[in-house]
Amino acid sequence: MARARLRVAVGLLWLLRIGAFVLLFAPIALVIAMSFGGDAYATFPPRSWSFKWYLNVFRRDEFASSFLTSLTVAALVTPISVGIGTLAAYGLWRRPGATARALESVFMSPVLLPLVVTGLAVLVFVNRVGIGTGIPAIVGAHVAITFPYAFRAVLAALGRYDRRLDEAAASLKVRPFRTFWHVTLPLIRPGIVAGAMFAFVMSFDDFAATIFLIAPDTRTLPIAIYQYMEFNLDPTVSAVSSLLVVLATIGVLVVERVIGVDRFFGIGDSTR
Amino acid sequence: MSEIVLSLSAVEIRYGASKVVEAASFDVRDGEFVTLLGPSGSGKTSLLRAIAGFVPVAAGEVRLLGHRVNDMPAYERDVGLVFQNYALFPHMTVAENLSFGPRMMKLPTAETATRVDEALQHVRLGAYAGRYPHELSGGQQQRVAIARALAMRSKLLLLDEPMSNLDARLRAEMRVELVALLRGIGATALSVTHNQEEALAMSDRVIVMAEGGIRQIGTPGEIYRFPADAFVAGFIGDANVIEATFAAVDGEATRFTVPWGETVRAAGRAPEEGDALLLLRPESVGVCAPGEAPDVASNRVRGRLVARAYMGAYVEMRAALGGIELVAKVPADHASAHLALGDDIVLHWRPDVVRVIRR
Amino acid sequence: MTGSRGPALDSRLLLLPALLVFAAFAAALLDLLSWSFHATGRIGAAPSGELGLSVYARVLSDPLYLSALATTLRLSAVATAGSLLLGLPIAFWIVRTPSARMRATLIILVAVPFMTSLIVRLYALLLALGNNGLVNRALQATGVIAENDFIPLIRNETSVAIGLVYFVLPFVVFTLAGSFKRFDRTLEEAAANLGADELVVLFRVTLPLMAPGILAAGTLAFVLAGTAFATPLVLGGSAVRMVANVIYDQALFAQNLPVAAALSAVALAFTIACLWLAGRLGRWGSNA
Repeated sequence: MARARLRVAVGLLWLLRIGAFVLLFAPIALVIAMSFGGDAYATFPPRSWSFKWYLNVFRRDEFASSFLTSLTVAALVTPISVGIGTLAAYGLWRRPGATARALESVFMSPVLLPLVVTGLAVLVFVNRVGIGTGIPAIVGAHVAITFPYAFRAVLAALGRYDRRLDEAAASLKVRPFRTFWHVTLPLIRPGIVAGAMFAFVMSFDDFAATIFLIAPDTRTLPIAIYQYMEFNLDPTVSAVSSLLVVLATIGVLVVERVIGVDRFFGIGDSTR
Repeated sequence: MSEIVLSLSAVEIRYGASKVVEAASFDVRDGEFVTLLGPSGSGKTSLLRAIAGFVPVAAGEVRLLGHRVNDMPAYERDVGLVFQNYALFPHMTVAENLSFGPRMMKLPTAETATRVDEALQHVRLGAYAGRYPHELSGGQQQRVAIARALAMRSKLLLLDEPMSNLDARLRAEMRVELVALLRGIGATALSVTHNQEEALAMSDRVIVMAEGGIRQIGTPGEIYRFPADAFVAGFIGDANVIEATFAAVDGEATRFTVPWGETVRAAGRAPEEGDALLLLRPESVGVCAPGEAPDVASNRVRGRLVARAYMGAYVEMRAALGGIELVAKVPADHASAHLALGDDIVLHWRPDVVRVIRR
Repeated sequence: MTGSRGPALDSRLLLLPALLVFAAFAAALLDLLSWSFHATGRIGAAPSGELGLSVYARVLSDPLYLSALATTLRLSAVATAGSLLLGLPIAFWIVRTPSARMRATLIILVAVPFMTSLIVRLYALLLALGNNGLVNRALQATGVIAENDFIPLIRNETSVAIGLVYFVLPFVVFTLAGSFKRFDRTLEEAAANLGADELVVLFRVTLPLMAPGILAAGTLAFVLAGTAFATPLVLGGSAVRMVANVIYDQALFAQNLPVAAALSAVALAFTIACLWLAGRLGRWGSNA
């Protein structure tokens, strides 16, 4: 009886696993398949095959320009978030104590904020101050959103760093800034890179906060895709989506190479 | 008199509200190897770190070559520090580790290279210049740590438990090597350890610490033969510490009343009357069977053999008498080593091996 | 770290940029929330009308807003349950598999959808669940429904629920796996040694000990689903409105900033309440 019960349970377990991966991948596989369809509207299965939708992506203004906007924003947000995050993490790490712990909570607090609230708050702010929406506003919102993750990544890297190396450098008459640059930074670089990757992806992918801050001629790629698919049913969206999937895959593989996906997502063992 | 490299006066170190080190005063002269010796919690490591500049000094003065350095940050002090865990930079080769300090001081490349080579020669690791720390054994890493400090040519070398991470055999070898090396280059060193054998073997002078205070400063011989108090007596080597009371003067010696009722003769005049502790080293205590006659002038006492341990080079024997135990160390091939447990034995010692310590 | 005062000053300077960013953001947030105390106002104009809690009274009594709140809570609960149900087996697999390669592969397989823009994933779901989408086509092909017939799978709560599970699943998997890896397997071995079979071990030993991790993942899922914006927008259309959608509409279309601000405050309170509650439950669980 117990054996049968066990078999059912194991069967159920594998069913759930397969179901989960189907949920995760079947839609994506579908999109990629559809992107090669020859028809003007999305049908499945496609009746003919073509690359023309990919060409359309590059030809259509809104995708090219919004991709550039997304890239620009992410390229601005990442160094800002990582830069400020590294300084903050290093500053807290240098003087541990109750104040440092309290500040750590403060710096992590934006993760509590719903993205729409962040977007709306920044919108109200830029209107008050007179800057208006557009790239600076979007960058500002994205920095607020991504900073906690960059900060935490660097803080985690510092947690694994041996404080006595700093003392060793001081015993060699090396001043604190030089110590940070030549000793600490090289050793926490993987953590910084991980934080940077995370910040870049979060900024690039963001929709909910960004949608409050777009301007008539300024929008990011996710927004452009959404606006396009509201009115158009052709597989161009599938094509640009497939490109983004490829981008995500490359990003994940790079992370695996640099520091390992297990450590990046907090599942690594300490022995690595 | 050689110059004073390091001078501490009435140094006090606090951790929060508690005093970790109190009233520490001593000097280290040029070319000396001085060891701070004490159990954990004695404050010796805190004192070393304060001299290096990593721990603030609450009171008193620390002077390096005559200059007061209390407020000087660690990276400005001319001291080299060899860390207990070596703290080698894992992302740099041995050569880069060694050249790091000189490079940051903006020394000319040629000068840096010379220093690195010299330091590597001193520790005999010339062939390992291109290796990374994780490719080296523990002993090699220790030598790199020493070489890195040597390359700085500081006036004072600080060593934090230098032998503690080495296995027993390597420890014995390195003790000799390190002292020879430092003497060869004329370095001045202050070392910290809890291992009294190491301290006695390596140092010109030993500073014994306990519970934040300095108990005694002296050469290894002085510390061992004339311990200042019961703690030092017990910490350095093995000791029989006997509570005693002044009884009478006896010619050139003094008599003391001891717990087992009789009196013991100690050579020399004890200046004061009253309570004292008598220190007796086990290796100075001889053992014989009742009936065998030791030298007439010797003190003797009869007890029951309660424990015997064969230690290879000697046999340790414990005798119970009058409510206390006395320990004797006897050569392994000595006749008395074959006495059986439970037997009555006689312990004997000459008056001149009895040390009198104030209570 | 040293005896002098220098480094202390340096450390404080290091924190300055982050603190400035924070101060600016906190100011913006407080400004937004202050709008909720004015009766009327829109973006670009100054707040007007009387000061007071009238907006909150309106928000918490008007059926329009209440239904959005109810929908939000309902769908978040479903999404949490669904993502935990699907996420636990995968997290287990990731942590228990002996092969490091397999573990990395599984993590990569979950990470790729995670790092793909949400809009792309929602579009993909749209394709799958649409009237002419994969599911309906499959049902037509296998004869379950007629050739031109379709089951409406989008623009209703079902699709939004599926979408929320899809959105939240990677977060849940990573949180669960992260907390499972600290689990001490010798406890399971001890139970087996005492005669418990695999199922009993699972339900009596493993799951109870993993409860804190499950709680953390569930809380995260609930909060993420509750504040979701894109998913109900794309998959629900105008038929399914969650709090985030209402905030957007009120702020940008209805020109009703006070209501948007009040709902933002509610959303914020909801998040904080969930985390606090989870913290309490966690402590209660470990004390029991």
